[in-house]
Amino acid sequence: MKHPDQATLALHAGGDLGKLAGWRTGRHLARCAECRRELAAYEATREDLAGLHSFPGLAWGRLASEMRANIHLGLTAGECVAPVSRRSWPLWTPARLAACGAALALAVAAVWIERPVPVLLPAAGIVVETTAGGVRLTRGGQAMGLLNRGGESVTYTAGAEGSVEARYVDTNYVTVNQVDVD
Amino acid sequence: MSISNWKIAVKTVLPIVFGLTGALSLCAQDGPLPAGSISINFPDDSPLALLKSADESHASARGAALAIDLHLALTLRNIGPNRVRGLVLRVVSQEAALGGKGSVSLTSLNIPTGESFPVHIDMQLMRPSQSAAGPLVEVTLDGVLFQSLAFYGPNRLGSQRALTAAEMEAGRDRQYFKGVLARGGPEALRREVLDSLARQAARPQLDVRVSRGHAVTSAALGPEHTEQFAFLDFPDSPVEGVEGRAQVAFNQARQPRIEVRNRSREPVRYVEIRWLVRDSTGREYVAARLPVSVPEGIGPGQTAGDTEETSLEFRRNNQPVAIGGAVGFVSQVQFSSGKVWVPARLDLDRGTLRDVLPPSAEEERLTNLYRRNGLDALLQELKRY
Repeated sequence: MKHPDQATLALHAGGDLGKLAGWRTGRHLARCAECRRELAAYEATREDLAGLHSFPGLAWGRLASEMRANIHLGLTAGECVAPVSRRSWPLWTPARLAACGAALALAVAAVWIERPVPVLLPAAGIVVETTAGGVRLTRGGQAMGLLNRGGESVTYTAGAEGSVEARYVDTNYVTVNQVDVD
Repeated sequence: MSISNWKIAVKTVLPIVFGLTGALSLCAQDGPLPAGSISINFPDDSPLALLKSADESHASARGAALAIDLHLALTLRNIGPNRVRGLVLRVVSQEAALGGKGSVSLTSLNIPTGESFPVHIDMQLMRPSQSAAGPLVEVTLDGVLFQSLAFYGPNRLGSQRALTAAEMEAGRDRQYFKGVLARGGPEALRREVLDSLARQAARPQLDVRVSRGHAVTSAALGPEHTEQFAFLDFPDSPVEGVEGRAQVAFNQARQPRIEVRNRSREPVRYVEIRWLVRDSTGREYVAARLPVSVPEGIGPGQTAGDTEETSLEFRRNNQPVAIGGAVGFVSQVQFSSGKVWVPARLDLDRGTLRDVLPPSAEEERLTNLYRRNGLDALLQELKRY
């Protein structure tokens, strides 16, 4: 036999089950002494709860009245701050058109300005270094690089005073490109 | 629409229109450089004449900056009475790299009177779009070295010393190859050249970044320590290393300091130390040149030192290389008289130096000639000297 769960029995004790569920639970209770005992326990608890009204120092009725009054007060206050009236505005005024145009222009300008640029080092001091194609000096957003021309192997040499040179054989001459910090 | 609304619209849109016009004007800068952007000046009494210059340079806007690709092909002619061995062109873009300069040098030349030769300058500049008047790039002659080691030029870049040292190394290595040829014949020379090419191919090389003006060390690099140099002493070196050190943290070294003693009988005005480092696996690399410049001269028996306020960062194949074990040796000395000393070939062939050091410019040129044109071409070239 499948017994109703505890929640169903509790709801049945309070008369809160639907008609069909109440009928089915009632049928089961008529045949099941165990569930009838459970039901009886729930009904006893409900009676005990009803008796709490008489607990000294806990004015349940007054508390309920105050809560109801507060809810009404909130609703009234809400009505006071509701929108008073709505003026009708045309959708496209010159100012709005101008604002939209400005936003669009700003977006285009931002895309243009932020398009990819060759890598530059952050603005901090002056740096000389080897690169994939030669040697380069950078300072802030400015750069100057000397590129290797031909030459299958390039010998790079740094100078601790602040220089880097790239040396390679170009046809029958040796070319040395160097960048220096002044 | 009321008048006030139109006023608001105009006030809002006009600045945007002007802004866009400015941006579009940058687009318009894409293209060849305007006339007068490149200035090439040789003195009237220069032993080299500029025959022609082909310019394929162009500029393009990159946001608020201007990128300039400069490709100059110059044809120079030796109009002096002496054979030219080397030259240095000073290349400056003062606006583009405040505080910096560049140079293009040609060494191992052998240009007789009346002969023409090409010089290429390939350069990239990045500078603000807004610029002052004047040329973007100025090219001037800084120096010419002749076969007699006589020098012409303003020497603002120390070109006389650099060209003289290169010429002395060139003479030393040509003599070495001639000696091999004399002792063992063409096959011995071929073996020597093949050995050199193999060493060049196997030689490890570091990418170095030198910065000045931000001595900031990162905690991520780990603790910094003082790395002391060990010096290799060449018996015939007129100068010896006394002390060398650098503050090292992982792959960065900063404030390298070198102290040297002049053990010759002549005053010395410039010393260059070649600095080698070792990575965690024990492999050695050339790290940098460390100059000690004393224009007033280091007297015989005196010591002098120099600290560079720079930071060097070492990488290889885009990975940081942790450095340790610094070794140095004197690689160049210039006496106050202008004479230059370079180490003997025998000294540079000692121990692992031979595998770590790059070949001289002349050795690289001669071995490259063999690789491209064969042994006969190399033999013919050696006969020219």
